[in-house]
Amino acid sequence: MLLLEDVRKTFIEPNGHLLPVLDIPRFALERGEQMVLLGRSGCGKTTLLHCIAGISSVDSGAISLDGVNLARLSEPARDRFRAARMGYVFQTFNLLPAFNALENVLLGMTFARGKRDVVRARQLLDRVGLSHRSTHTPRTMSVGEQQRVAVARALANRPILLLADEPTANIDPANQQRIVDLIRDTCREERISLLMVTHSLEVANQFDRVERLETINRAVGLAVAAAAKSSTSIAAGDSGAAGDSGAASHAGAASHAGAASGGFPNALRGGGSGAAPPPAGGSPGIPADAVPERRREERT
Amino acid sequence: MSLWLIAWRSIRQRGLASLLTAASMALGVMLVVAVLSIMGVIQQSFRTNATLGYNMIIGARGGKLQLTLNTVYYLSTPIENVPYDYYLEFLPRAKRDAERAQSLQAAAQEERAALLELQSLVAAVGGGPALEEGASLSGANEPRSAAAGSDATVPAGASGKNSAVGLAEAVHRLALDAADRRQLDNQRDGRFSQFTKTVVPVGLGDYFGPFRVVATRPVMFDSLRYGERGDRQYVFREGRNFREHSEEHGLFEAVVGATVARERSVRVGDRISVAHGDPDGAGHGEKFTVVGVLAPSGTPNDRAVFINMAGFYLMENHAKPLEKKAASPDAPRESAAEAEARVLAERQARSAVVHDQEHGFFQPLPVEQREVTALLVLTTSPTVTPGLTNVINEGGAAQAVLPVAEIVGLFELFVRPVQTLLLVLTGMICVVSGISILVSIYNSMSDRRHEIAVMRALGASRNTVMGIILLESIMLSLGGGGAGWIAGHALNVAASGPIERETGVSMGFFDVAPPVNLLELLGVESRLSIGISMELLLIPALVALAIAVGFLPALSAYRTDVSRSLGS
Repeated sequence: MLLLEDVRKTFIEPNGHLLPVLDIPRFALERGEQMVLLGRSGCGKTTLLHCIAGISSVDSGAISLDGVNLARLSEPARDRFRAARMGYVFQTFNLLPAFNALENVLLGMTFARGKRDVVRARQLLDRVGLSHRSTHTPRTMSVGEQQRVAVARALANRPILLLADEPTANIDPANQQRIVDLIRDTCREERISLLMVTHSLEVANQFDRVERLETINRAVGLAVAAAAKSSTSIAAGDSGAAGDSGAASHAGAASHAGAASGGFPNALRGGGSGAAPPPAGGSPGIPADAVPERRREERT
Repeated sequence: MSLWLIAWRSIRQRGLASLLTAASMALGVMLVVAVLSIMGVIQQSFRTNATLGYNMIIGARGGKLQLTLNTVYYLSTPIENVPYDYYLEFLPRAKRDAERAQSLQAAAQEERAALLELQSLVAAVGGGPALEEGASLSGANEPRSAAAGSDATVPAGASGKNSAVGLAEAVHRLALDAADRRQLDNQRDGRFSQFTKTVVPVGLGDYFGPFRVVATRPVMFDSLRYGERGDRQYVFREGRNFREHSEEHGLFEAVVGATVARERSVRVGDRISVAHGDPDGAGHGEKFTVVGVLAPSGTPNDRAVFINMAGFYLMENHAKPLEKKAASPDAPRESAAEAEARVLAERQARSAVVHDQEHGFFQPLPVEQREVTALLVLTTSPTVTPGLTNVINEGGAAQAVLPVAEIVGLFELFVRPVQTLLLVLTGMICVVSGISILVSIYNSMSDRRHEIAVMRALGASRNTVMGIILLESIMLSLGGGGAGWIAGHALNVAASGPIERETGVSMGFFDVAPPVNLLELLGVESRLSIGISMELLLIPALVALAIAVGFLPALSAYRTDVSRSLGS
C-alpha cells in the first residue's frame, strides 16, 4: 500500500554544501500492517515521515500510497491527500491551544472535507477515554491526555495510514503503554497501516516488524562521514564557515545516536547492519549549484 | 468548524493585543463617523431648513448669503429693510385693500389726536382760526386728491400770524399731509401676487436675551410647513398661535420657540420685553404676552421669539420716519418754529400710542411708516421661480434669493473643503490604526508559526492559512470599526446639545451621514443615481484596509516552512 522507491532528499547546508538525508532504494508497508522504525537522532526519521506525509517534497523517486504517487502531486493536492488519507501523531502533541479537545479533533475534519462530523469526533474522544474532557483546552490537560487527543485527531478522517513520530517520547512511563495500546488497537480495528518512529525499545519490542532506518536509508552513512570529517577540521584548528558548526552538531548527534544504536537487541530484525554505501548522486562535498534548484531545501 | 471561528479563536488567544488593536481602529472609525455624521447632518439640516415652506427670500439688496443666513438661520445681521409697499405687491387686491383701509383708519385716528391737541393749544393762546372737528375728520376719511396734499412742508404763510396760530396750522397741515400719502393709489392685485402662493413678512433686529426676535404675521405658523418633505405643520406644545389683534392682548402677542422656552423658562401668560439692536441693547418699553410655545421642530425656529408684526411697528424706533417731499426751489425753508412744531406732532403721535396701549386700545402704524426685513415667498410653481427672481432682481428695489442655492453654494465653497480635510485626517488615523493591526498580527506570526505548521500538517493548504490570517485582520478591523461606529454616534448624541443650541440642528443616535451618489463617487458618468450613506461605505473601506494590512502577515503564513516550523 505504501511504497517508496529510489527516494532521495538532500539539504543544503549554510556553507552551501549538500547534505544527503534520504536515499532509500525501496521501502514498503502493507495495508493494516504495523511497524516501528528505529534510528539515531539526526538520521532522517522525521524527514522521512514528512516526505511520506507530503509535508516535504523529495528530490527524486516515488512515494506511493494506495496507488497515488505523492511525489507527482502539486503541493495543494498533497495537502488535500494528506488531510483525507493520512493521520499524523506528533512527538509534542501539537494541539492548538485556542481550541478545546473536541475542537482540536474537529480541526482535522475541517481542513480535510470542509465540514465536521461531531458524532465521529465524540466517538473518538470516547475511545481515547476523554469524553468527559471534550470541552477542556490543552492547557488544562495532562500530557497523557493531550497525546490521547492528538491520537483522536489523527484518526478523525478515517486515514489509511497513520504516521506516529515518537508519540511516547514526552509521556511518563505509566502512560506510554496506554498510548501505544490505544494507537495499535485503533489501527487494528480500522485496518489502518501504522508507521511509528520511536527511540523506545520497550515500544519497539511490541511490534512484529521493526526496521532500523540505517538499513533502508543509504544516506545515513554519508551523514556520519560528513560529521567525522567536520570534527577533524575543527580539531585541526580550522575555524571554517558557519556551516561547520552545524555539521559538527550533526556529527555529535550522529555519534551519540550511533553509540545508542549499539544497544539495540539482536532480536530486532534488520538492525545493526551499519551505514549504507554512499549514494550515487550527491555527497557532502558537492556544491549546491550542482543540484537543480527545485530540489533544494536549505537546512539551517 | 468554519475558518471564521478559527480566526476568532486566534484573536481571543491574543486577547489583550487584539483588544488594543481593535481599540485603535475604533478610535479612527469613531472620528471618521463623528466627522461624517456631524457634517452630514448639519449639511442635510441646512438644506432641509432652507425650505421651511418657502422657496424664495425677498430682501434688501446686498449679500445674498447674508440675507439667507439672517432670514433662515437667524445668523448674522440684517442688511437693510424694504418698504412695506413691496410686501403689498405680493398680495391680491382684497388683502391690499384691507391693508390700505387699516392704514387710513390709523391715519384718521392720528389726525384726530393731532386736531384735539391743536384745539387745546389754540384755546391756551386765546385766538386763531376756528377749526371744525367734524370737517377735518371728514376730510381725513375721504380720499384726497393728489393736488390737495402735494406739499408736505409747512407753508410760509404761518409767519404772518402769532406763534400759537402758526403752530396750530403746522400741526394741522402735517396731519392732512399724512392722510394724503395714505390714499389708495389704485385698486388692483399686487404685481407679483399671481405668482405667489404664500408670502410671510418678517422684521428682524430685536433680541430676547441671546435669541432673535422675529416680527411676523400669524400666517408664519398657519401656512408654512417644514421638514424634509415640507409637509410638517408647526405644533404648539402649549397655547396657540398669536393673532393680528386679540381682545385680550391687542397687538402685543408673542410665540416662543421650544429652545427659548426651555432656556429662558418662558411659559404661556408671561409678559416679555425685547431689546433693540443687539442682545445687550436697551429694552423696549412695550411688553408682549406669550400666548404659545412651539413644540421642538429641529429647525432654527426653536431658537426664536415670534411677535406680532403690528405690535413690533408700534415699538420705539421701529416706525420709519416720514420722508419729506422734495421741496421745490421756490418753496420756503422750514423755520425753527416749524421744525419744532413737526417734532412736537410726532412726539404727540407716539404718546398717543403709549396712551392707547395703557388703556387697552391700539392703532396700527400707517403703511408708509412700516418696513420689513424680508419676505418669505412660496411661489405658485417652481417653474415661475426663475422668472420672478429675474424680475425682482432687475427691478432694483429689492433682491430675490433662492435659499437652497445659497446654502449649497456655501457648502461647496467653504464647508466641503473643510469636510474633505477632516475626512483625510481621520482617514489617515484609520490607516495608522490599520498599520497597528499589521504590526500586531505580524509580530504574533513568530509565535504562531508552529500553530500554522500544525494546521498545514493537518491538511490546511497555504491558501487556507493565508485566509485565516486575512480573516483575523478583517475581524479586528470590522470589530474595531463597529465599536467605533457606536462610539462615534454616541459622540454625536453628546455633541447634539451644543450643536442644537448654536445652530438649531438636533442629532439623534441613528442619524447617519446623508447619502452620496455612488456612481459619481466611482467616477462613473451616468444619469442614474445610487444614493448610499458614506457611513455604509466604511464597511468595504475597512475590509479593503484590513486585507491590505493583513496581506503581509498572511503572506508570511503562506510561506511558512512546515517541516522546519514543526520542529521548532
